[in-house]
Amino acid sequence: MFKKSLILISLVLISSLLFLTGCGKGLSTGPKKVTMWIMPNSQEPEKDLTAVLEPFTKANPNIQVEIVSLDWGSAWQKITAAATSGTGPDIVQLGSTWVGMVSSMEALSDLKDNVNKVGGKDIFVPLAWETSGLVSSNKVTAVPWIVDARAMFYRTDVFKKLGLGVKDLDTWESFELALEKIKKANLTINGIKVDPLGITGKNDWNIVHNLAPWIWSGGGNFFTDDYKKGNLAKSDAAKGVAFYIGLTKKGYVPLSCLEKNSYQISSEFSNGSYAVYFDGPYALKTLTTPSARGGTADLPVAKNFGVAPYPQGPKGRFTYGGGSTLSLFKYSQNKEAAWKVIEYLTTDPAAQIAYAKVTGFLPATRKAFEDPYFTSDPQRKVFSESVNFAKNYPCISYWGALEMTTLPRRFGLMWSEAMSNVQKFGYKEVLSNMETADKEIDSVLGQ
Amino acid sequence: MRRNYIAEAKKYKVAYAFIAPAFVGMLLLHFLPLVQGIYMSFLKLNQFTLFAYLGAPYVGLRNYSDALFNPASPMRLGLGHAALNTLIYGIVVTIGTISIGMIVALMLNRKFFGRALVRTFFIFPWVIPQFVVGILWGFMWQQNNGVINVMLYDWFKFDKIMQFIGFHVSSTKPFWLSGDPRTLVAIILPTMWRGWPLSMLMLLAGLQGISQDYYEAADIDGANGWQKFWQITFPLLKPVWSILILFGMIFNFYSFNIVYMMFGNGAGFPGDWGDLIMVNIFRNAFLRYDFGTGAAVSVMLMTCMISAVLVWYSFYKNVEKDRA
Amino acid sequence: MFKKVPYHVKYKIFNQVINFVMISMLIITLFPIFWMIYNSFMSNQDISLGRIMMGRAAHHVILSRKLVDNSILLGTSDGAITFYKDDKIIERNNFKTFATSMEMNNDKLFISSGDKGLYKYDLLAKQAENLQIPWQEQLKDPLFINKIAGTVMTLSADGSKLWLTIAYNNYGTIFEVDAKTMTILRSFDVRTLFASSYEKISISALVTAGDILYAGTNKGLIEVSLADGQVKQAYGNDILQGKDIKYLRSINDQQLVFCTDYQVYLYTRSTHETKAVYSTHSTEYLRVISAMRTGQDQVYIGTSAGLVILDNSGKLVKDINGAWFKDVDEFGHIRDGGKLIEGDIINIDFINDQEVFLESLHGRVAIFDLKEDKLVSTILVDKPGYINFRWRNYVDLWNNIDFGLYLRNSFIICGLTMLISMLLATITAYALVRFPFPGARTFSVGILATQMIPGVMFLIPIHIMFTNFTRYTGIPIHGTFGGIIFIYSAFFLPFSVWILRSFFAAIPVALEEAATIDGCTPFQVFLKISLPLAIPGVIATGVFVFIVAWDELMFAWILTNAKTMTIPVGIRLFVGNFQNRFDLMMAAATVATVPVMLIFFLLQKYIVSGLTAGAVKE
Repeated sequence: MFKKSLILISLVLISSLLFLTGCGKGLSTGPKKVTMWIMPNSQEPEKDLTAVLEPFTKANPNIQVEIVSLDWGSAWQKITAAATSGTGPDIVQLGSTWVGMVSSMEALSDLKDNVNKVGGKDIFVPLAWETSGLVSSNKVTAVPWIVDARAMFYRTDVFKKLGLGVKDLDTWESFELALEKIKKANLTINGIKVDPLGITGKNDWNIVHNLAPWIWSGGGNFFTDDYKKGNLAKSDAAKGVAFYIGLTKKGYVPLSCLEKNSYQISSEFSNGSYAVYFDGPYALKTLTTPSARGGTADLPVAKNFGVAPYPQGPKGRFTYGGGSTLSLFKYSQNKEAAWKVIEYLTTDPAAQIAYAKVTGFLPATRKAFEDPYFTSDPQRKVFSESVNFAKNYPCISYWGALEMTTLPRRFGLMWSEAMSNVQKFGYKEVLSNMETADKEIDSVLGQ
Repeated sequence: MRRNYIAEAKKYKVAYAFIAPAFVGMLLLHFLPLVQGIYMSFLKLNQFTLFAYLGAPYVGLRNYSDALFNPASPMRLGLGHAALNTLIYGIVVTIGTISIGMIVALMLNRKFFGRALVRTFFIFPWVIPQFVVGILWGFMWQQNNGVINVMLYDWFKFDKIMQFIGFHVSSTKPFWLSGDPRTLVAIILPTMWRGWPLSMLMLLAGLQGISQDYYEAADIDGANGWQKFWQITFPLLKPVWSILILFGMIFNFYSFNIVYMMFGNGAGFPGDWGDLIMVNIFRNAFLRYDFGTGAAVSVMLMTCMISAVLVWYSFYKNVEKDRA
Repeated sequence: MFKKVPYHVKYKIFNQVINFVMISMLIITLFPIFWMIYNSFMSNQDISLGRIMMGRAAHHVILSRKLVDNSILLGTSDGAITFYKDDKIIERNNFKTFATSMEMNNDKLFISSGDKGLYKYDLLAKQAENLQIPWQEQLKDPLFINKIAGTVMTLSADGSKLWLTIAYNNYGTIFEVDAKTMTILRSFDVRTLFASSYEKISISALVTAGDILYAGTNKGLIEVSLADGQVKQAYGNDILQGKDIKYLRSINDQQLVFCTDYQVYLYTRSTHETKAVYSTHSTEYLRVISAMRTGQDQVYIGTSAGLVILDNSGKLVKDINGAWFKDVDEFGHIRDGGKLIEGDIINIDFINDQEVFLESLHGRVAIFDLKEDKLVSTILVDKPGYINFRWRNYVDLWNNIDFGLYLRNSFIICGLTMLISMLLATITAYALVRFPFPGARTFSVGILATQMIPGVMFLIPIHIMFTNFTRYTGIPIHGTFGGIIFIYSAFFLPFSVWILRSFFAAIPVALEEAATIDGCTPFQVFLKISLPLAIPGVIATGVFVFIVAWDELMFAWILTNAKTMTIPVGIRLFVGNFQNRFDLMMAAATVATVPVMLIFFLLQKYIVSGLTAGAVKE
């Protein structure tokens, strides 16, 4: 008797909990609901995107877009969970470097026909189109949405004082000379010591992105041409990396930087601690937005900064260019409506410009780039032009694994080594790290 | 015989009713997932096959052999180091928490003014959530602005003192979280800081349960404090510290949150000397999508843990027997 | 020699040594907690610059006046007004405000602030009157103080009315206040012009001319008719290139002047014409406009490197540079012997036809002779602002993430988990201890065994099991309280049973046997005899479960969504998105810790007696 009642009680307790909390949603029969997962691209991600979508939702009253903002940290796991279990949103924003991995899970729809109908690959900038699907698959699983390219921020007040100019940031050699000059000057402005350069070391999501431009412009490459093997050591990636780490060795970068992350370096730059640092176009937006709207334009540094492209290396000028894409899940029940949303956001120039303005990213379509917003402002122009020589990683299925575990680990270990004795860390040590990195890349690729 | 069981079961129907919910819960959320997890360890479960889940290709013991013997397997990267770290970390933290707990418990087991308050304050670190411990100590270990380095080098001139004593210590502030052996210290200390109050609390209660008669008898025999501790207190507290060793083994070898949050708040690779096995498995399974091998390593880890607990139990059985 | 010391003295010394060691350990133990809380009240800039001491509010001079008795009044941005005579402070009054702006008319000084509303200070009567301005009414965001970049205020020519607003993201409400009675007359909302815009408005300057109130915004110039309260766009921001209007003044009845960071524009009211007249953006280097004032039919522009004077047609009259300000640190203390350096001019006030006050950061003012182009003298407010004990960090935290929701979720989830697992654990533990039923031993071993499964192993199977369950039954588990409570209860159950067993084992069997003889059913025995005796243990175990559940991150990470997110998940997300905000990180850490600390503090009696008793009396 007690047995029964007890089981009953516990069952009722548990199930009532489940029902109590679970039945909130209900089914809507009216307009078609399209759920969309995005990343925190702007300060108020959900509100901002809703505002950008407003013309669309007015024109399509039967489509209702529900926007959920994830974050870069949890998104990776939540997107996998959605991909494997078939429950989740209709549309998902994917970081361009994730496209390969998520596409290989066979959970994304091929949007090739849809994209071709609205103009195909020619309407997007080539950089963005590179990550629209797996390299070998001939499918379009991700439609380019926003683009990110990195450039250099420098303090004009420091440069003015030392008689330096943008030209001095043009090549590796002159860049180094400029840093040397700043280091020698040993400036203190507004009571804060100005170090020549701020870069991050191992504790940073951007660890691979930060090294990539130097690897490429030194002539290095991550893979052999068939993406079957790692090619860092043979292609002499060590040259660029050694140059980059050498900047620390020569004392241009305060050692304490090496355990900081991009956010910290960026905020320390706006506080006045560095003369030069590297960041994306969103940093330009923050620096030019007054504090009334959440930026830092009121700080002294924000009034004295300029933007220059990455310096040119022996094998050309490169920067890391990424961004985000929109994808449609295979299991989506509202594919047509969802595609309309994607189409609007990725191809409508007004929407592209509007979202770029809100987020500080760059648009993905060629047409949007023609807008004076991207061509007239001298600082933003640097970013718009950087897209031309920006490079992304190949869209292969294993890139995600490499970018999230293998390479950060290897490069992290390299930084650890450099941090413990930076003076002894030179080309030879970098090269041996690159050789190991190749082996590790091979092991991931050859699984 | 069989009937006998049924009869007995009937006799104890209340007992069965009592344990039924717990049994169901354990079956659903421990046993079933465990079986699936073990099965996963025999599958080639990665990003290409995750959609099929248990329908993924069966590869037998390959995941195990990969993790153990195949030097080319990406799972192997840093696994040995992580295992070694976990071993050192687990042992040092367990022994450390118990020793500090014992010392403080002995100090608190005296009569003095404000004893209850002091005890309460000592327990505070234990109440702090682990992820907070990670964030907080990560913040304190920073090289340049971290308060630990600031105290050691700017306030107390640690380097000068060491030089004075005769040790050569570099006067630049060290990196604590760069991945060299110092990092192991940097993850052990916070874990101990959070862990020892619980040991202290339990040992203190144990101490209070020891009858004063033993000590009086020892006094008559002329034993000093040291002897009294090793001859009376320590053996009599055996039930407590042996339980604490069990807790310590389970919690510390499976420690995850503190280390995970300490390094770039989950962003960075902790470095060779900062990696723990759980963090390693998590990274390989969830960021590299190698669930099969991840599960294989988990199963091996669990096997190690079970054997360790079995060893512990054979020891603990004697404790129970002694008392009976 | 030591041996001759009597025993009780030795004992006392020994005791003192132990006390000393104990207290040192206590300090070391508590220091990290103190450090967390202390840093949660510091400003992030101080933390990232490695400062140990708490920062102070900035005390930039924002208003200077020469009074009739030849004393000088300096208003600073920390809400202080300081009266100087012959270089000595004769009086000082500190309102300790935040986002301060000041205006003065005759003997009335108006101080508007983001946190304390509007003050009217009567210089003759030396009395202050306060009016709370309901900024937040328009926002439905009660905790927004932190984001206010500044207050914007303008007085009517006769000083009878004033208009004020705040520089804040998407805030467009302007209040009209009667300066005599200090009452709010009405308010205008300029946001109505941009209802559908994705870009947000913020007002940075106000000025009246005739019966029109002009507002300088990031969306150009907006006019509000004071006659009927109608809001109109006077001038859009097409040629502003998306830049904000920073300062706005009227030159005369017909002309307004406004500027962005580098560019000055003239606006003629009758023709609604705007033309760009002057740019500080020379080819050589940047000079940012940091102040603008009109007077004597001229425009005075303060920049980061001097003073520029334009006439009423925008033609350059003068461009003066020079080192006019003492070198001071942020507290206003003299550095380098106070040699003169260049500084940002952040405000200009007129003394007479010939002399002006040039006001700069950190309490510095220069009195400058415009006819002779030379520095007359300097004044320095060397009283740093109030200690910036930043409660606001918590407000900011609350603003940036929905911390209230996470707290509530955590309480619901951990509380119910605790209740359910305690309910089940009690009966299970009781059954295991009291009834030697077949399988009891196996079950006990099983309970211990569950603790040895690494959590990572569960994650994917549970996730997929739940998904399938939802697919076939339609009952959602992901992102519901039910799902996560179910998981937690089941997870912490074995451990609770393990601890609770010993409590029941400690209860004498004889008591229960007596009750059984009295005719109690086994259930009644449990309820009336054993349970009450085991209550301290149950509470202790419950708190333990609560603390562990409060800490759980891995499962909550995957199984909760935006609406059911717990504190660890919220903090993890927060920390991920605000990795440079150590102040907020520490505030978040403090908020996550305080509830458990409180619970522990309240229930510690039970925990100490309960948890330990269980361990010992196995």
